[in-house]
Amino acid sequence: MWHNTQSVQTNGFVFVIELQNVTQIYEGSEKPSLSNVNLKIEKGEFCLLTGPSGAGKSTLLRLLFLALKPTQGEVILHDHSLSRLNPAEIPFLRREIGVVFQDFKLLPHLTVYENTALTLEVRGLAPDVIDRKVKDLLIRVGLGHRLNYRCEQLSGGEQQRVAIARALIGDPFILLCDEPTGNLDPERSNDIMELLLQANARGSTVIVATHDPTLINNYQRRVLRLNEGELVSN
Amino acid sequence: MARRKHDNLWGIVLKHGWRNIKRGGLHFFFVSFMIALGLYGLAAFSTVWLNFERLAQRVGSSVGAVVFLETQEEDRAKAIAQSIASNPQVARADLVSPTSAMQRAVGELDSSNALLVDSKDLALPWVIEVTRSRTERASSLDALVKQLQQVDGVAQVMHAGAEVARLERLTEVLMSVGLYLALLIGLITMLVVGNTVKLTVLARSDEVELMKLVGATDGFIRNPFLMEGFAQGSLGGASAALVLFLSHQTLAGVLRESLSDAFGVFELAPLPWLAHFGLVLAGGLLGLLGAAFSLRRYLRV
Repeated sequence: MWHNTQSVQTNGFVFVIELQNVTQIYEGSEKPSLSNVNLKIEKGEFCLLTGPSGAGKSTLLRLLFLALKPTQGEVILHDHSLSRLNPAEIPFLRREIGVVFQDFKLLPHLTVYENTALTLEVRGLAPDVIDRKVKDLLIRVGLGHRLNYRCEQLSGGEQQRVAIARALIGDPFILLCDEPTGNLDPERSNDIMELLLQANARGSTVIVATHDPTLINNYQRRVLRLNEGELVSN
Repeated sequence: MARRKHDNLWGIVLKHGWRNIKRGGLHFFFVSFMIALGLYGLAAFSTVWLNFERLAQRVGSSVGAVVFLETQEEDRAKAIAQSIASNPQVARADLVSPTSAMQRAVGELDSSNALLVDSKDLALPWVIEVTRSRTERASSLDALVKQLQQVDGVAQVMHAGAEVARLERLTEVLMSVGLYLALLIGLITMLVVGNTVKLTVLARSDEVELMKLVGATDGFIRNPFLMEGFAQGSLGGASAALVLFLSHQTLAGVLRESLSDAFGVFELAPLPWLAHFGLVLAGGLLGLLGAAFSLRRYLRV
């Protein structure tokens, strides 16, 4: 697992994420979504990534879960430069990154259990191990009574929990969350944030993209602020 | 980066493949039906070809030649018959005397035989009816006829080589058409399977994308689709084999009754059992190739 591998060490800090002069320009667009971003994130950090809509938050996350290749610059994830990464290695690197998508990306025809188990099936774990881990985690996130419900039968908050469970089930070294509390009431938002803090306490480096100022005020963590593709506050 | 051995790869592939099949519903059976239709057409055509081939061989072996002799002497005719019978290509050489020939003609003409009965002075020749010894093709009959014509004392040799040759040519044409049809059906079936898999892949693009994002390898994503294609094809092949068997059972009796008058005892030969298994295998292969082709083009993993 990632936890046992070497990381970039600078002055005693262990960085698991490093962006060097990263610029991202989408095809057909003249304006960069990210412009010359430099960033280092330490192992075990909990960061809040904020900025107005279109600031580049989702683009930054997409770069970090390898859905994009930067137009310019270098993204280094735990010693692996993405520009030099063999394409065959990408699936194995992705297994170490948990992602909570803004639109959940749950498979509606699958049950809560199946959606969560998918992450472990891909990794080739034995069925009994998958069964134990999935049930344990779903109970922990408060979905123990919904194991065999199809995701389309769940409320928005419950679907959000399934998405988080799917991201957490593989004990990811990096956990990326895109607006995980969007459209949720404050009480539900706090529940979700509590889950993410627990993951952070267990060793995951967490980055949460949000434009919710309450969240930023309530959780005094490192804040990365993007505006028009530039990292204006770090 | 940790790469670990997959503890349960085929179990997961089967599980996901089965899930795909359940989700596919009518799509799944549509592809199977198309494969079954194509393979059945091909197998039915092969059955027709097989039976034409058998018929050509049967006609070719049963039809020999009729040898008319110059001599009117019985001893000389017997000697010629013995000489012809010693030919390795000849199974039988039956000598027919002029008297027997006349009786046979009178008998066969039935009520119209008055003219023959009154023509007592009509001198029919001695005749030898030759039956060939092996199942031979028309070309070998021609060779035999040439040998018979060179026998001393033979006036004329009559044979049905032209008819046999025509039947053989028809069989050869059928075989060529069959090969063309096989290629065409294979291509069409693969296109149908490929397009259906393409639609399936596009319909499941969200699922494929998500699987990639959680770290699925190319093989992990592809294998259930390939399994689905193989299952569709095998089901189609098995259906074709079953319908072929049932249609043979039904048609054999009907054809036996209607064609026996024209061809003697007529039995519609079925394709060998191995060919039935071959249909299942061919179906599976078509499904697999169709899926693989489509995945290669439309599933950029």
